[in-house]
Amino acid sequence: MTPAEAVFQLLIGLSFGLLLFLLASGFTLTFGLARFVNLAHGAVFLVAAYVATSVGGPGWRFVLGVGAAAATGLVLSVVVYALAASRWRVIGERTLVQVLLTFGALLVLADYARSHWDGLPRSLVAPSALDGSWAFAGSAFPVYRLFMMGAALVVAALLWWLQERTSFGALVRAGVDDREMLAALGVSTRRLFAAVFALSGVLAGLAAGLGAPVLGAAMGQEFDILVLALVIVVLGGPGSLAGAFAASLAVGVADAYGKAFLPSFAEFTMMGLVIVVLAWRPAGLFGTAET
Amino acid sequence: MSVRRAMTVPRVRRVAVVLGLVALVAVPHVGDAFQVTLVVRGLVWATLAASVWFLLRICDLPSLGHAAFFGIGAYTAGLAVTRWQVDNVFAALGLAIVVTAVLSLPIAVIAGRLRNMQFILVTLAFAEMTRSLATRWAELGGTDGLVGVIRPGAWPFGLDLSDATTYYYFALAVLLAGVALLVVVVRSPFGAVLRGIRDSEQRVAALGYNPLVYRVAAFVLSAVVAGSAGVVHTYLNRFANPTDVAPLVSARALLIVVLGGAAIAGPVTVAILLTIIEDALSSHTDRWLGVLGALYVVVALANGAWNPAAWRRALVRRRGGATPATHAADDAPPPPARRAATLERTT
Amino acid sequence: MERTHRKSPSFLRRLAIAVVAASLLAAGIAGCGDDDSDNTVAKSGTPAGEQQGQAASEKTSDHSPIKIGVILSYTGPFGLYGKPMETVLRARLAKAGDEAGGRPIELIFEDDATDANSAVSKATKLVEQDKVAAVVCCVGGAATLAVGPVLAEKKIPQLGPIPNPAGLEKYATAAMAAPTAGHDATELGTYAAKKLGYKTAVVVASDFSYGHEVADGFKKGFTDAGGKVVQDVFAPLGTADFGSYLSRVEDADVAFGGFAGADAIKFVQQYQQFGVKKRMPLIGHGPLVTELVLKAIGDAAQDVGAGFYYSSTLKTPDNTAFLDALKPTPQVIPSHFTAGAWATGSVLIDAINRMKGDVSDGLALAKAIRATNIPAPWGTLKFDTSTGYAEAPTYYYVVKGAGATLHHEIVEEMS
Repeated sequence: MTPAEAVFQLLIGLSFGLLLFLLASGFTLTFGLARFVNLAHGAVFLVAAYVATSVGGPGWRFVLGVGAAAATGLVLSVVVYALAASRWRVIGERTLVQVLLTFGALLVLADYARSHWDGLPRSLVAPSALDGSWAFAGSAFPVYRLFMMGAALVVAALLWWLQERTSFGALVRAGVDDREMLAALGVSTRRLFAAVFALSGVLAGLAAGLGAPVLGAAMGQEFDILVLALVIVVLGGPGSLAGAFAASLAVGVADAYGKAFLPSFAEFTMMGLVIVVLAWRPAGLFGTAET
Repeated sequence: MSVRRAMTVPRVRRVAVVLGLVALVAVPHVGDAFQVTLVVRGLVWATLAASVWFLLRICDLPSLGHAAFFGIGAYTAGLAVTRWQVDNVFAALGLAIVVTAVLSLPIAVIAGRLRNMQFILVTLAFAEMTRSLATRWAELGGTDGLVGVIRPGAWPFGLDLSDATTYYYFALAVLLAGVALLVVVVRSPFGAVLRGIRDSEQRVAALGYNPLVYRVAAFVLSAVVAGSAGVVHTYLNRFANPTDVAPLVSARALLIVVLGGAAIAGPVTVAILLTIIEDALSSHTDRWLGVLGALYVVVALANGAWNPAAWRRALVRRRGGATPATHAADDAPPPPARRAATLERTT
Repeated sequence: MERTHRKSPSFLRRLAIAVVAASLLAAGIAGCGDDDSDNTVAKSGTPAGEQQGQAASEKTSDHSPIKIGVILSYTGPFGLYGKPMETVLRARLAKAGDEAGGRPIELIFEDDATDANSAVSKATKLVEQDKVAAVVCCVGGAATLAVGPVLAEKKIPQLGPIPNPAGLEKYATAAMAAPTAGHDATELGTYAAKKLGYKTAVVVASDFSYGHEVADGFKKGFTDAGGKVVQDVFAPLGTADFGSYLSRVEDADVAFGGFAGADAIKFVQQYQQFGVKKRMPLIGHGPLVTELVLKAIGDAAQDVGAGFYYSSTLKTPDNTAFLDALKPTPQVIPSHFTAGAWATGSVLIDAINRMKGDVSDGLALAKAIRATNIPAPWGTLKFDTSTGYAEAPTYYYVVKGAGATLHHEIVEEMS
């Protein structure tokens, strides 16, 4: 492995990792704040990806596709919360009922996608300005990946600003640490949770839209994406955006190096990482001991 | 003890137990060959669900990786007849139990230290690695699966397992043996320690028990029952396939336990019913997964109403009896003081 | 400890509740069973009961419907294939007036959810409850192999509609209406070395049975014809990102891609994005650029070559008839899946006609199916009577056009 090759694989890994961050950050927020296990997250991604591929198109319509995906994510995620909120006193406290509810929602959403788009795998072609490759280290790196990395970084920066510099973020941080405190402060947890679910949906939708030229839309994603989100949330520690960011990049880079240099064991890289990290730090990389 | 139970359990329920068992025994005499094999599928799921039930309800460990043990049992059973010339179903079952126990031990040691989401994820990770192995190992047939499996003999009993009815009773026997084993363990002093660990780990640890050792033992026991289900599964279909190790298998088993409630009879019943409902639905509409999903949503939302424990408590109150203590905490929202610790607690 | 004792009653109570449910369930099953056998009587006009009894009563003069079971995947990863194949199979039978051998044909469709276990269960149902005369099955290789012994035991013919893996030769009841994927890939390997003049090749394929089958086939054909495979890489099924694999691919005269479905889309797109296409051309087994994924791949598919037994641009008379039949249902994309469903319908009609409607002997029907020699969308469809796998021509075609006009351009028949 030459240094240039190493850097090249690093880039591939980082671009995939940043996409992972987008699709997992929403999950970690709802899980960390509302202690809500939203298994429907994967199906929200799936439907948003299909919407992106049907609304999006060449040129400026690409932006339309991404926007439609984000809007779809927002609506679906809020609907899932509204379902749960209708009996929040019971469902909010009982993880297994959440699992049942959101797994059911996952099946319904995935079945809708399958029947509406005939189960066909679809793709969204990147705008022609971003469709080229950039010669690098004897290989070519797709320009779109660079754009995707930039867009994901901007979203990550906005999230950081939202969490660290706004009163909304302060409430979320307070809630993740101690939910009882929110009630004591007289904050409407319902409204805060709804806002976090909406944000979570937007992030999943953005991941689906921005990722559509790379990942496309296909049946089965509802589970694949869910597993990826679970991996990152648990590795990073529930509710920790910094943890999710670090875990996403770690998973992305490990995946890239695994595929490139140990192709026969690539499938084991991610799950191997999970086992090693959890055996070493049960609370996740950035988690606190009490989780 | 048996005398006390006889006095406290209403006669009507004992009659119902007998009736239910009679119904299960009667299935081969009232159903056609397809219906009998369909219920065998239900029995396989019931055995798997019972193993997941044990970990979840007794140890508060929600496993999303029991497909791994189910699959290990299934592939061991397949290899036993295709590669190792084991022509005895009990020998194959014993072999599968040993293999499952040995392979589940290291997983149990790592997973036994984790709780809640971490436990869910680490079991899922191990199951996914097992599936990758099954997919990639050429000896096991890759994604085409291990084919050419035949049902072995049943020495010393003169049984012909290729007969649908005989096989049904074999599957029923494995289920009942598995359930009986788990129930005996739950009621033993060992089970009492497990439940003590579930309810208050510190207190039990203070008494000098090592919670990890108990969790690991419970995990391996549960894995062994799941492996036995895999054996019945393989000889039923006469092949083993990587889809047997898929996360959806684990998820379905966990869902059955969630739907079934706190007692072991719940998951057993739900497993059989769900298998039949799914088959009927999928024959009528290709939107059956959506219908099933909607059903899950409705059951989850109706959860306040769907609360057998609450009915039971109400019943007991009406009779002026004491509230059964053991599982009451499972179904009621925890008191605020315990909330922080039980936020992710399985209920 | 006292908890153990107090728990017992509640446990038994709950067990009791559950067991009552189980009794109801058993009663329900018995009830269903009665309903179903009633239906059988009503529909087929034969006495319910043993299959042999029913079979014996079916004579040439019988005008009761012949039931054909069809197991397809409507849900799961292969869920995209079920509905269109059902539509085409129905259209093919409608073209023949929904009858063959003087008897009406009744199709019974079942979903195997892309799961071999479900396929076996549904096959049992079709045989035991619906008393079908033959089963069309399946879309997935694992399911096809798993159902093989079940139908062989019951002496019910099995007809596979699409390329399936080898392994069913030992069952006299099985017939596959398409050549194996390995066969076509081997032909392509030979063709690549002999006609296309490539000396070296790299093989990148999906790490599951299909990928290995076509990779092995291509390697065999290519090396036997004097070529050299310099590298082979297998990527897991459902790989999201092929970038890391593609950037490590060594230089050669040509690259062979063995992917299908969503993986094919991502692979062909990323093959171009990571600049590998500038270094060497890409060829593959048909599904790499099948009609189902071609538009989704987009212009990245231009000039990709493929070896396969079917393309919707073939000009055979039966393919024209097939495409005409698709006109009322524009949502159905012509591909080897739907063309296979069409040909399967043709085989059934032809075989039952030759049996003059007497399908009581499953082995005789299976033999008649294997003796079929009829036009199919890809040319002539006939079976190797000893193995049961179809013999079909293999074509080499190249993707031409751009955007909405992307299409296969047939170069020639390879064998």
